[in-house]
Amino acid sequence: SFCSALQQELTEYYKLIAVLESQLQQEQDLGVSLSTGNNLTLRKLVVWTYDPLLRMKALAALVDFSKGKKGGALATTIHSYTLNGDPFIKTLIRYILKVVSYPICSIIYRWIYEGELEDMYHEFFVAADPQVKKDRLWHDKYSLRKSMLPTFITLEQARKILLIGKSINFTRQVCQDRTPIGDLSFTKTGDLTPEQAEMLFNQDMDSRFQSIITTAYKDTSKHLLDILFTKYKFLEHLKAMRRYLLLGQGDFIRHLMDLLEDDLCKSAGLLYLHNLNGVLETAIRGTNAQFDDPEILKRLDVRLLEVSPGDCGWDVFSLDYHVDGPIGTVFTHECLLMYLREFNFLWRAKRMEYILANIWRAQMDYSRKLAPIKELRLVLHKCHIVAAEMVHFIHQMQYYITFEVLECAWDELWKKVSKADDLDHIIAAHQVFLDTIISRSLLGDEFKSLLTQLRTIFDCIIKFQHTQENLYQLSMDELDNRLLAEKQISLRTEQGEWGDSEIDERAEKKRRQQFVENVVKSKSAQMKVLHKTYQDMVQQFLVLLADHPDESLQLLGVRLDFNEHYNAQEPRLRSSMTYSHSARKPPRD
Amino acid sequence: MPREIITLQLGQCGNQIGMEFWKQLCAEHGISPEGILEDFATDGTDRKDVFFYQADDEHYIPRAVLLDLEPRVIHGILNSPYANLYNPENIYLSKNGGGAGNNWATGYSQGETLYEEMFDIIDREADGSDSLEGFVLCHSIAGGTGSGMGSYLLERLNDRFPKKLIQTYSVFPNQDEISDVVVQPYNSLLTLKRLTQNADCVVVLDNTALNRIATERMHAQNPDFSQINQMVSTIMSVSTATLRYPGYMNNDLIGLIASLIPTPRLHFLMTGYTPLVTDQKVTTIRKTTVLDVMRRLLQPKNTMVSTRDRQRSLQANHCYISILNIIQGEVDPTQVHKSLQRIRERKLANFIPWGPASIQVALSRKSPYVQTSHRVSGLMLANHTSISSLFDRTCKQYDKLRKREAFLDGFRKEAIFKDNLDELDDSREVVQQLIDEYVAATKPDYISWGQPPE
Repeated sequence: SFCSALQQELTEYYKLIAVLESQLQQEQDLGVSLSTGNNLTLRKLVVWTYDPLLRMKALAALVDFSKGKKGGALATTIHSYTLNGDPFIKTLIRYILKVVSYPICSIIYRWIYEGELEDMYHEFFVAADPQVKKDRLWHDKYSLRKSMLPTFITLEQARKILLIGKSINFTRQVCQDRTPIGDLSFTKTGDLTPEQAEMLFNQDMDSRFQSIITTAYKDTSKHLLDILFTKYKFLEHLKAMRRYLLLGQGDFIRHLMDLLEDDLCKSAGLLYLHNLNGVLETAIRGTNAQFDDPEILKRLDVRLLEVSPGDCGWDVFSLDYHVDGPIGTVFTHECLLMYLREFNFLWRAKRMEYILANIWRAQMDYSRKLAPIKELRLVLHKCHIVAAEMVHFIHQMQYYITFEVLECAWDELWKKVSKADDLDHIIAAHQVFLDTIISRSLLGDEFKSLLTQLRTIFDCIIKFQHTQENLYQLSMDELDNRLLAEKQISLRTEQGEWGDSEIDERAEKKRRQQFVENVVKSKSAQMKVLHKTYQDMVQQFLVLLADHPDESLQLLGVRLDFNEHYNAQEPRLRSSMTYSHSARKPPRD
Repeated sequence: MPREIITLQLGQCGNQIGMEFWKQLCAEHGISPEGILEDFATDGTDRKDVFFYQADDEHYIPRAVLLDLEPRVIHGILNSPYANLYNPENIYLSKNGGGAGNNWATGYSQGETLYEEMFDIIDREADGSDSLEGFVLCHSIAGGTGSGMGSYLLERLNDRFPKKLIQTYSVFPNQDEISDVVVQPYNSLLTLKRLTQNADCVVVLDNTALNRIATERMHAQNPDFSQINQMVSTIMSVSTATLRYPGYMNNDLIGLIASLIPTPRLHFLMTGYTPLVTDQKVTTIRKTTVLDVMRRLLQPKNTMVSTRDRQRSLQANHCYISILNIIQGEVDPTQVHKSLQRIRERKLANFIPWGPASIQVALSRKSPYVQTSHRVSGLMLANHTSISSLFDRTCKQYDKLRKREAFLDGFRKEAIFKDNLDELDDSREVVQQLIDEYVAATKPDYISWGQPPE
């Protein structure tokens, strides 16, 4: 287009030369003697060629500067000359610019209304990478070619323009939607005249361009979001992610744990995907998950994480959610991996809750059954106290996850998504959501020590479970023996003999003694050690939390030690807690 | 369907509150008095199957067993619009219809006699569930059927379903008025023994406090049972709300109560609710916040157990063992933590000195089919050591009667007391131990409680 403008200018110039030549010719033909008034004097020549010369000079300069440049870059160069004070040159350059911007303008029109990129020579400021496949279309296919961005178009506008065309292409190619978008009155690219191209660089005076972009942006983005929300049920998928990968569908998760419990205690190598898939089906059918959209349920799947030696089923089991098509643009592969990490964290915490429920259940049951063995009272009481501490810890942890991690982050995400203007806003909000929950779940790199500490606490709970089970087993055996002995006594009494033979009595006494020595005492000692270890671990965890700069983690610390039980026992905790307390005084109400 | 709960309604009182409970559940789940799912409720995300089972596509039947020794209340139910809600096979009415004469021993003996019939129904109901979570027993501890037959039932349930939870909603008699049941202290004490030994969790519904709330807070001159039963059914329905509207946490009964009950015998819970009906004025003035709700729940006047003789409570260092607040309505989740912190700073709640304890807050969804004028409401389930004073009062009344050997004839007639009155003495001891344990739980050395005297 620059060439054609130059061409025009040159033609003008040639015309002028031609006129001059013809005049000269005339003069020569007619002879010098004739009319003096019309003579082509040198002065006249100078006057006549003054303007063209200036033009030529300016053009030559332009040509020099524009050498090797094309498209938007060229427009930029030319645009920089419009600031020339000389109104003459200014008009000239503006004219040239108008001609130069015309094709840019028409490319923009084609792009923002039809999504077509008519840019054979890579002169436009939007670039497309033909290598990129559909699933990455939104993220990678189109980019801004900043070098080709004319200075008279702001970066903000360019981004919007990029977004508009991208949205159109996304709608057409990925969402398979060909319904016309918005108001079509501008779509006739053919109607475009070079005059209109002026609005591109005349934005100070003319807001038409800005309003065209704004309207097109609103129309296409809204159209795209509508399709995403209705046809592709984006919001439903988002909620499904929360219900399944973030364990929001509590009844389903619990039932799944019920069904999987035996399998997952086995070594990870012994798990078979097809068995687990069957279990998943059963869990869905048995719970409220069955009322979910089949479209969502068919995406739900089981995945086994990479097995490292010594892993049990609990370590490698994961739920999975298949995404494809348009929603895959938000739920990218990276996002899904984040979901899976979060699932793993929540699943472990949930398992602790599950184990503790079983421990508690057993305690209620055995405290009744073992009541006759008075010697056990103290050690059983100790078990109850330890378990109560663990229950408190895990439950507060879970409440923290419920509120600080899931509810609050979700609340924010939901607000943002419902206000979002375009897909990029949603992608960004979703990314913030994932980053927040990951970091609040201690999964970030900077939380390694905390997470490790948490895992040791979890391990301690599992150890406690085994110790308690063992204690109950041994105690029940003892109870059986005692009942047997009593039965024999009453049997003999019935038969009219002495109920209590001396040998039996001695044997019984000895066994009881042994029970106290071997079981009660050793288990009491074990419990004591376990309790101490556990408390140390929790205190260490609290110290780490209190020292942490992240406020939400300090909140977790407050929750875990609401009545300052650990605080009273741990001097390190006292100092750091008081410090953090004075540091953030609550506002008065 | 997993984790079902079977409700057992025993005696007049049990059946009355049970009926109110089912009315409330039907309304919340959009189920008509005939058990038909209403058209507007077909796409709900609520879990109906915890408390109901489906007879056919739209027909829901409560997992409820109705037992009584006299016909009045059950006939009342059968003449109400809800007559067809229940499975008729699950309603058992004693043939002789004479009732238990407000005598624990009579109720207990009749329980023994009717064992087969009762457990036929209960077993069938249990077989009909996939993985039964447990039983909820509604009864009163003062009369004859709910207390006596209830006691018997509790013992047998324990034998028969050792792995299942047993939760009770137990109505304690009104101590402000003179009861026409003279043997009430005996009945209460004997039942308390079973509640201590055979139940996993007892939600104490204290008629004394409920009556006071009805007169003082709801301005009813002579509160009748319907108002009190309304409060009771609210407590029951909200305390089960998290089971019926699944979320991340508290999806089963055990998860709900395990964190409230640290040691097996300290399983008596008190409740509090806000807003009570006439609190409406307060809510219209300004928006109710989470903090408002939590603060009100900690106020004794909203607590539905009349144990808080404040002066004595302070002297004895009575304290919270645990608290769970279930909050429903329009709540901003980000406010929850701030409210907790405020309560902690102002030391609005005293906690045990021997272990970690805190206020748990659960947000629960609310039924979309029941309109309430309150935007936010809250239920507190709390384990507080001062509940022992309620048992203490029962013991004192019992001691007075027992010293005079009064009104024991009715008891001596039944098998359990034929030879001697050991059962009474034994129960007295069990309840005393319970009181002692609650008092012990106010002290730091509770950790080593139960050390055998050497």
